[in-house]
Amino acid sequence: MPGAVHVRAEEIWASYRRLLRRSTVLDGVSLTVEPGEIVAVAGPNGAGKTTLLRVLVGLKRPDQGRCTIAGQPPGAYRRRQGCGYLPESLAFPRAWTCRDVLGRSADVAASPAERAGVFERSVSRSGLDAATLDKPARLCSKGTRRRLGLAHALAGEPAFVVLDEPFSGLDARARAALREEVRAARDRGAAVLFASHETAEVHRLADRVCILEDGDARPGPARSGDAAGSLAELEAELLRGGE
Amino acid sequence: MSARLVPAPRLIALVARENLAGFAALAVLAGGLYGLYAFVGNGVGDWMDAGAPLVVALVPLVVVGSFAEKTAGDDALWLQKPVDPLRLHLARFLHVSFVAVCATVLFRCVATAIGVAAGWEPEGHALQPVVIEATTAVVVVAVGFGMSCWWRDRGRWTTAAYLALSVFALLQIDFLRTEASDGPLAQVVRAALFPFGARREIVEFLNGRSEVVWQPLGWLLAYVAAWLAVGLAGIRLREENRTR
Repeated sequence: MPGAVHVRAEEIWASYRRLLRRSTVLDGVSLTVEPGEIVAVAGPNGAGKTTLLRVLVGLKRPDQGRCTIAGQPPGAYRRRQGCGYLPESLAFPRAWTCRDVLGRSADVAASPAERAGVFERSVSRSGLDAATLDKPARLCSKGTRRRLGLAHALAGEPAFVVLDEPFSGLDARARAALREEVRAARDRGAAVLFASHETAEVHRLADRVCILEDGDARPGPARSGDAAGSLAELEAELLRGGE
Repeated sequence: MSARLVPAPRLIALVARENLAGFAALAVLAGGLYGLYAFVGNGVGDWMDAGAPLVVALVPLVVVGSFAEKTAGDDALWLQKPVDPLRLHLARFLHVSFVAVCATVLFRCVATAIGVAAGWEPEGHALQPVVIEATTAVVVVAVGFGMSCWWRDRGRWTTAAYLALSVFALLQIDFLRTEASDGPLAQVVRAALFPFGARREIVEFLNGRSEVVWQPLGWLLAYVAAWLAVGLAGIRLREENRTR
């Protein structure tokens, strides 16, 4: 895995333009993620979580602000080192089986000598059986597609992992496996950022929470020794913003 | 980490599999030509001559959709890994061109076999048009590539509109030739839309009515190169536009 990755986003402004109308989504958001840390971005619908993640992986250019991944602009970092990105909606190429997707994933994520190992790890990470592996990815259930997308994102053990609504559509077993994978990524030193609506999962997995609301970011409550108490506190904090 | 693109044989197989529907459409079209002949009972040569514009119209339907779709999906899937976007997209152009040429050759072989079996006597070698139609297919793929690199979401429709216009211009040249349509402006428009002149000169050469082939071939290559450059500029600028 490449060296430690520090993620810095300072005063990020981002907007979308539709015809002559421009709507601002991020309104001076600042965020940091350290190596070996899991940071969750929580907030209501339309708060700009997905936009923030897209800015950080270099798929959207911010209007203002500075953003660096290991000291490089996000797009440059992604092109040189690669990152693990699970988008909210996944569109796999028509007629590709799950095996094809994971095979190509290994091809683009690893050197020729490492491909076989990366492919095997991806298959094991996805948890798909042999029959499902040979099904067209597009025809699989939402949960299966998410697991496939996650295996693709984590292929090659990227040092910067960005997951958009990773728990969406997953059953209890797949959620537990996902938590394990994300913690394993953190333990090997990756900087992990994920966005989720699911307060319980955010609380369970994140080392730190950033609450995004109306385009602005504020830190979530710090973890306390009392797990139930700190979950309630997080829920209260998320509800407080809506009032 | 040094990432390589997918081995060519695997990608070609995948691209070919994605275009099964297109191959099936070609077989249906070839069957349609035969059916029309069988019911009408004459005019096989006319139907065979009409094959070129039909192929020009059909190949884009096979290839352009997959361009637009994959250009949109690649951002989130493959480009998160350390892959050079120019290499990735150029490789895709080559693979899709390969499939488009195969589709064109298959179409012509099936249609020719049926036509010859039905008593059609072609001028010159029966498979001579394959060369020109395959070249046309590559040109069409290059146009689709150039457009879909700029307009990810609308690339499919823009290219379809462009090709409809080109086919119309082709039909105008072949069937509706008028004095006005041969004016300088019309010629410039036609040349910019599609290298019809070069295409016609190559047909003349293949039919032994002309000895000039390098010039039109050069023009065709330049046309393909120009659309490739348009596409690569689109990828580069779009990429840079996203990153700061």
